[in-house]
Amino acid sequence: MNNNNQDIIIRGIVAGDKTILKEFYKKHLPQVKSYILKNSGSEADAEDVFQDAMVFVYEKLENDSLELTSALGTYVYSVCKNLWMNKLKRNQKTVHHEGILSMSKTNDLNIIDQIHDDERRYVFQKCFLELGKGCQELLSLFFQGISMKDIAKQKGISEAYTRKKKFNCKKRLTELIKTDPVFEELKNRH
Amino acid sequence: MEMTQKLFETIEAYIEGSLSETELESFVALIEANPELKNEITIHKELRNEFANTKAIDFRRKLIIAKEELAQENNQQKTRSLVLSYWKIAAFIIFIIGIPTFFWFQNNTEQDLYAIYYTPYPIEDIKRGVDTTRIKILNDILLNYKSQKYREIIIDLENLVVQKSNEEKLKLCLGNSYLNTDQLIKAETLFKTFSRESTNYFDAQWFLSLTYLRMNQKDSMIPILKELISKNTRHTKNAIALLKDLE
Repeated sequence: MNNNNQDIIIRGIVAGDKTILKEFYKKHLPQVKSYILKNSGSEADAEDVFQDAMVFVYEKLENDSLELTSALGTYVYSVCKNLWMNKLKRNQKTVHHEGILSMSKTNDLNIIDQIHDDERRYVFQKCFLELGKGCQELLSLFFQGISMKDIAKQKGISEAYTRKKKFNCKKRLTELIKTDPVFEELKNRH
Repeated sequence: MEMTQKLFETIEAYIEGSLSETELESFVALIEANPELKNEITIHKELRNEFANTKAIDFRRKLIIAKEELAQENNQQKTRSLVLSYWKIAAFIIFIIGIPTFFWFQNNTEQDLYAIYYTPYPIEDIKRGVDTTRIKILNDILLNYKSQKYREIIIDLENLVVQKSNEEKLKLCLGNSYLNTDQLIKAETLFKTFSRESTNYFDAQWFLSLTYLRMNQKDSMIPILKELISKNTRHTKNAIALLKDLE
């Protein structure tokens, strides 16, 4: 892939361009699926890991901290492999294909540590997206620091009811997090 | 420790640093006495940091939409080729017996939805064992199942299921074969035999809901979809989308 194409893809990912994202999925997810299926995983695991890797890459692109020494697809594949190997190691399973050092191809070993830190965040994000739309909206406003009074005004409901609803949503979110199997796996390490 | 609204609001005030001196003193004492509360506060702090900026979560939403659209496009592609094969068969039947049974193939909403949501149960991970005869039979079944020659494998599958009633993946394949050969009552009966304790229970429930979709029994589908939605299964997202489409 030439640099020009790669730049278009990177810009598309940062902008969340649906067409680019779909093309990226089409092109790179099969390789990740094949790897994960060979290493005790399922298709759903592969999709999950691929999504986490894309978020990881997006955030690095967003804050301009991604220094690519290989094609973006190769980089994402390396991130996927390392995310999956972390999971296998946590569950004490053996990795049959290519070791963690394959990341050195991207000349960015620091990523492994960053992945460790981010995995807990990914659980939070996934649990958040499992909430209903109403809860997601309310909690987004709350976490952005908007006062309960202003949220209530914006939603056209009383402040007391907004507080109650926020509590219910946040309680559901924390319950989802605490019962998430990955969160449980990560807890001991945290 | 019970998580009440008052406790949540105290945690938030503690994180914001807006507790009075007295409140802070008693809350710190409470934290020290309750490790569970300490963990809860950590989660609240992390949530606040994570979602103060919505960029990552917005991006994840876009990824989910892209993935779902892609799956839908793939299904539609499959449907198009499936519909084409159906029409070829229909033309043949009309030619032979002259009865326009093709009405079955006329699309209605339920059949459209079925075509969008149905993908055969993946058979790859069935244990083949050491018995060579059994391995051969399983290999033949695998090959024919993948080639969608469902009618040809039903008898062998039925025999295997009778012999090895604990091999639930085979039961799922048999159910799928019934579903694909219009033996809907048999499919329904079989999918209903999966117990809640079974690791394949949610797979069976998903296919049971699709069987009801083929039977146009919307009322029977809805509770199943709701159950799938309430659990975190690999069918949850499809169940959400299907329920939405049904409504």
